[in-house]
Amino acid sequence: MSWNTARKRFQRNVESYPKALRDVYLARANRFTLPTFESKEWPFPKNERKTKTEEIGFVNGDLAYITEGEKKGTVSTIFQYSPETDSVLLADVTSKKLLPKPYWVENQTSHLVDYPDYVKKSHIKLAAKDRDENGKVYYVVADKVIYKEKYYDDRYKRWLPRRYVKGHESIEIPWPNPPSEPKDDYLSTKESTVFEKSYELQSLAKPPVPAGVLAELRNPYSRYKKRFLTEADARRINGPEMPLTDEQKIYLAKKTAQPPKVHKRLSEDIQDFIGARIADHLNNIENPAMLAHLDVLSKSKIPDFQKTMKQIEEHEATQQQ
Amino acid sequence: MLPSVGIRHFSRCAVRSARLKPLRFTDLNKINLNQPVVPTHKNFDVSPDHPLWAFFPNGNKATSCFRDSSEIDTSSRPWALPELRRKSFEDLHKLWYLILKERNILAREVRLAEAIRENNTQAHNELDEKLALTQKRIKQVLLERQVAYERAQLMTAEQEEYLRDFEERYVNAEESDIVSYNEKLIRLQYAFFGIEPQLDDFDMETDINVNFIEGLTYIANLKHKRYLKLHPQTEEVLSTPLDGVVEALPFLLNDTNEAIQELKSLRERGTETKLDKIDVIPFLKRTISQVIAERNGTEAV
Repeated sequence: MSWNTARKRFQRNVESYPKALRDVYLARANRFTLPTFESKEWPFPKNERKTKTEEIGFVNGDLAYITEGEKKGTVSTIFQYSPETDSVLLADVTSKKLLPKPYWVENQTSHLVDYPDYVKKSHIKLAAKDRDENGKVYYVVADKVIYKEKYYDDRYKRWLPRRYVKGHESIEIPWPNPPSEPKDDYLSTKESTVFEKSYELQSLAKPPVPAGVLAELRNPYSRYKKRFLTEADARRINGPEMPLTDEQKIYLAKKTAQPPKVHKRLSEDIQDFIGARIADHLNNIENPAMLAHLDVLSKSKIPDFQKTMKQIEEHEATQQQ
Repeated sequence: MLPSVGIRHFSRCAVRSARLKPLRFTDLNKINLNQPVVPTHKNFDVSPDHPLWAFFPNGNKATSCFRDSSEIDTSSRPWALPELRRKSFEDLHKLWYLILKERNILAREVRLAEAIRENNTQAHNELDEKLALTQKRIKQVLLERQVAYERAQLMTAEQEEYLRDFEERYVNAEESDIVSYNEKLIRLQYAFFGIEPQLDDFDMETDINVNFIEGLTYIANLKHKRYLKLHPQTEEVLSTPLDGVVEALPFLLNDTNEAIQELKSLRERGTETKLDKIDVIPFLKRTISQVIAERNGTEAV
């Protein structure tokens, strides 16, 4: 947060500690929590948390098939995903917890309450409900989900990919209705104001931002923008020339003693032979996609081939002279 | 009583001499005491346009100095990049400062919460994250535009090719198409050289630059070439290519026929029209502001 970054410098960054030490801190933190509300794992560091819908794979309201634990084999509704622990809260997975009186909610009469339990994301699979032609409800459980074309979902007011069961790509799992309509608050902007277009690129000759703003966008004092290299930098960039080993010297001497390699044109016999082999092979291809591919491939120019042909022509020209 | 000498210490003379006086009160019944001032903010008048009101959510109409989480905006989302890309620099600038103001209010509330040991500031933090994300995106959008602009400056070969192509099309255009080509030319001169379509919109300080000179030369040559194409039997005076901004400027300010007449009279007079490099921009500024002044019926500055 912007207002306490200065203090962060003096705080312990437990996220960067090894796991054994993190466990120590977790145990210490749990000393002050209620007995049934201990946190069992240290939360994921911020950069490892998944926040995009596509990465998470489901949204609130989706059905999930549980693969581990007490409720294994049942289907339940997801009502919250927690990126800190990469786990979900499900509608039917709860346990009885002891709650002291100060924390009671309205109309509570007992110390024991049903409290939702976190289920690891790896312990659930995405499920979907449908009816067959007789009106009987059946469930589909997707081992893996793949995304295909994107469409604009008016319920979520955003572009979403369509989800399909991997391996059975005729089965689409539609995104569920969002649990609540997105509603405006005091900082919201009107839709018409948001869609109003006030910028259009009109000229290549006019800079899009005033000159004074550039220093705010890019750091003019960045150490990566140094104009002058120090001697140490220059040395690092231009490494010293290493002395050659005896073997290398012998190799190079041999190489220079040899006459330079000369490319020659293939004789007509060999050209015919290669041509016949290729023609044989091509005539056996029936797949139209492969033929189209080869057609495109034949039009591509290979620079190395052209270079060799040029060398041959030059060689022939010098010989004629 | 004298202070001891030779030992370094703070002087206590005044204290000691004060102590010497007998401690005596005047008659307590005669002392008039003022009514005590209760330390509450109601006893202070604060100007309604005090600048520090900007740190409160409703300005000077604020009724409390700390909003709890139910009063904080939790359902709005940050501006998305495609939405910001549609907005002009001025709009983004305004939005940046509105966000900054809101973030300042939140920061003040969180600082206050720390002071009064109120720990429930998660809603404030979450809102601030959204606002900061929008600010980052604004920067991103501006940077994207700047990078695109800088890359466009390097695409000189493509630009020249387009200009050459346009020149050919313009010179060989039919008489019926020339009106639409002239409109295109006006858009092109702004797009490539930043020459405003209206003379009145010229900013004399910034708009007359190297780009402007390039554009002026391009446009004048274009019109001159077309004139020569339409009138193959022109006099010798007119047929040589244009040389310098003095000959080119009439083609920007007037229509082609007037410009040709002006060019003819210039060349027949035989005055030296070639300017030194250092004189070009001052000449353009002077002449253009004179023309603007003449057209508006005022005097040039």
